[in-house]
Amino acid sequence: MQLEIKNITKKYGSKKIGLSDYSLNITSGILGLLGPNGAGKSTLIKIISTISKPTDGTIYLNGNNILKKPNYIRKMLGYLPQDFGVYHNLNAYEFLAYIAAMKGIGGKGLHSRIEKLLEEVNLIEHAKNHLGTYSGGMIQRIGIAQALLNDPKVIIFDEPTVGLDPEERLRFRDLLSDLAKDRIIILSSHIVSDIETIADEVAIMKKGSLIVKGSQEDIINIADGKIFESIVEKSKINDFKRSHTIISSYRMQNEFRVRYIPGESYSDAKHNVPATLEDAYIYLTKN
Amino acid sequence: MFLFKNILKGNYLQYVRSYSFLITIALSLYIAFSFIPAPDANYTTIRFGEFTGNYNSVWIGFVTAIMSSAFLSLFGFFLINGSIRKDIETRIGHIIGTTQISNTSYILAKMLSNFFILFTILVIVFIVSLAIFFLYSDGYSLQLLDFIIPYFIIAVPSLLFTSSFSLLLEILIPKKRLLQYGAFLFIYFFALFASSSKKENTIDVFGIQYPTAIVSEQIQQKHLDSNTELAIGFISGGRDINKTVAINTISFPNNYLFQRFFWVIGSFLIVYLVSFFFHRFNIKEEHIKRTNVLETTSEKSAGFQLGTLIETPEFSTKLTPLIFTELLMLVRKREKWLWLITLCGMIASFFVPIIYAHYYILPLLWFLQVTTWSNLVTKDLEYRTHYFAAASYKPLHRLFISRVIAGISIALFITIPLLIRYLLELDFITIINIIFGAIFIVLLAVFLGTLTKSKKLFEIVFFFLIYSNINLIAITDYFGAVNTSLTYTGIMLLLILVLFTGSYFLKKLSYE
Repeated sequence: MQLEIKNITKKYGSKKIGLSDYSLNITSGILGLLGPNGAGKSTLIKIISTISKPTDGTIYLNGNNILKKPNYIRKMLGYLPQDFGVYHNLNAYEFLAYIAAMKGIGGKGLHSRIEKLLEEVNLIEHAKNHLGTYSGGMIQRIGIAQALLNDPKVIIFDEPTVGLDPEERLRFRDLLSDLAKDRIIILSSHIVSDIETIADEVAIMKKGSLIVKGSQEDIINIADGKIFESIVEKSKINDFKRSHTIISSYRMQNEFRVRYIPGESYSDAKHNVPATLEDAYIYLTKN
Repeated sequence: MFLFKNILKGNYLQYVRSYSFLITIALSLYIAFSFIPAPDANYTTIRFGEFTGNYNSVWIGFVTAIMSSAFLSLFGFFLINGSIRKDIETRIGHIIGTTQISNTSYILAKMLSNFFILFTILVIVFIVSLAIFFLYSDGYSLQLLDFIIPYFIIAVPSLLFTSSFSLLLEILIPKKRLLQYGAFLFIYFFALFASSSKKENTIDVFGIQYPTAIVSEQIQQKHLDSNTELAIGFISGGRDINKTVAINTISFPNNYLFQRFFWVIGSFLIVYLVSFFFHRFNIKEEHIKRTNVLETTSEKSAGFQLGTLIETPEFSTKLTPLIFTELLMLVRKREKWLWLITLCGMIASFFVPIIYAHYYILPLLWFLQVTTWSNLVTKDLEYRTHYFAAASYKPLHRLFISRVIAGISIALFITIPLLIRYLLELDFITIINIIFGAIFIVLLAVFLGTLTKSKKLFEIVFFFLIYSNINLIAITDYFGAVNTSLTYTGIMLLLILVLFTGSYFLKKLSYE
């Protein structure tokens, strides 16, 4: 499996640019997509999912131009949008059967596949209830189930862990690792820890451009030696925040333990610490 | 006050910046032109027996103000109804519910923004009427006050009342849109027709009775013993140039002004009273259901152990599962009592005289499906499922077509009794016309929904169609009730093809 994104540009009107000359190669495995709001992650995902068309550029999946032949990827696509809804007057089983028909799948195995999926997302007991009665977390699980209906070879998950409880998040990560063997999985998330634990490669975006793509180790190396920790008095914390880029701060009694990227003056940066993916992400996007 | 002003402004801007508003303006321009028929047109809008007025400032101002009062209130209701529902659907309501704005202020802001939307259309009608005056006036000079005053006295209170009455229905019967429509239509026609034609009439919401009675008297003074009975609407038959009367003044006495003021006050009073019943976005029924489901599922988390998932799905491009689910959604969308009425209407279609079944029952039964068809192609936006639809396999050839087929199937199902009766009479042309009518109305919904990405326009247009159909106006007869010629059948076929092609390409553009 190979997805080649070549020089994609997406313009909204004459001034606003969603993606600017964006190129990326993705092979089987999990690609974590990171970037602040407005970086262009959703725009990229919509273009790969054939929901939106770019202003310029091409995308090839296994050598097939999916902008010209969108149904090539649609047959093997599992997509979980960030913000989606369901038809309130259908029950879970009917909804999945409907989505299956939309995806162009059917046959004798469909019924048992839907049942198995509903079991594994723990909705089998409520499969006959109308979706209008479901909670946010249950709808999210239905979303995950629909994405896996057609045994997809390209899976795109946009913020998939929203609404899942901590245990489910862990199991969901395991599921993604299992699925990644012979598939392309693109996982977009604001939660760096979701990506950190499972992504084979990470792509960091900012303002419609790709800043860096590589293994987690390569990306962490970029920030290595630039991350510091200090204890800062409560009265000085505001001044400290103005001078440095804060990654995290933990409040203690009368002081803060602060993890940060130093500003122009390194004079007070004393205690260097090993970088993590989150540090590298903030270093690359905010600094 | 800050919140109040911003909600008012936000509602108004949200609407006037939408694509539907552009179409509403186009529709308003057309309607305004239709209020004053061209001298050679074959219809009139206000007639007293066989008499109409000369096209001077008083007459044109009077006619357009009365027509605006009656008809803008009618189609305006469909335009503004749903402003609270929109806050529920967009979940903005949950935020509003937690702010310090009082129920009365919120509803008042909604009422005023709805009124300003209608008032904007009224201004357009006024401007068009001025243009018409210069186009058709028989050498009369423009008297601007004669033009403006009827608008403020007759039309403005009606629009205010429509704005507050729409909110009253939204609050008292939330989530029952068709019931809201039915209640409004019942009250509307009751207010329009059930009142007497005397000058003093307190239930004259639209302010029509007094000014029309005055004009009728003026005509009678000039043409003794003539029939000057009022006819209002889009009445077939052109204006007889020999039966026009110069109406030079229409005065509004204090009594009448007090009545109009009463409706203005009444509109604000409705807002105040209904605020006590406002749910403030706490829709209890749904909350209870959700809580129950949550409690029972919280015992076990999702396993996501899909390693045992061995059934590999087969590729299938069959349309039947899609059509079946579309039909299921359409059927479930309507309340059971509405299907019961539809069923009763279908049974009645077997027994009542075939003309009544065709002319009246059929369009009314179709009209009961107005909200079913209006969101046939817009439901993905409403339910936020548009990403699933757009990323599906061949959405244009499979999903879109399935939806059209499901919509037409419902329309045809309703016609079965009538089709059987015409089949027994071997009237094949009428059968074809009815089938074309069913296809036409669904495709009209699909076309307007795809064009505007909103269900509103179709609902308004469909309402006007039903109003005209019940009045047997030939030009709006789309199901062969009045028209029976082969040429008509050909025109309908052409319209169907145009609508389908237009919808298909619009949808294609939207998927691209």
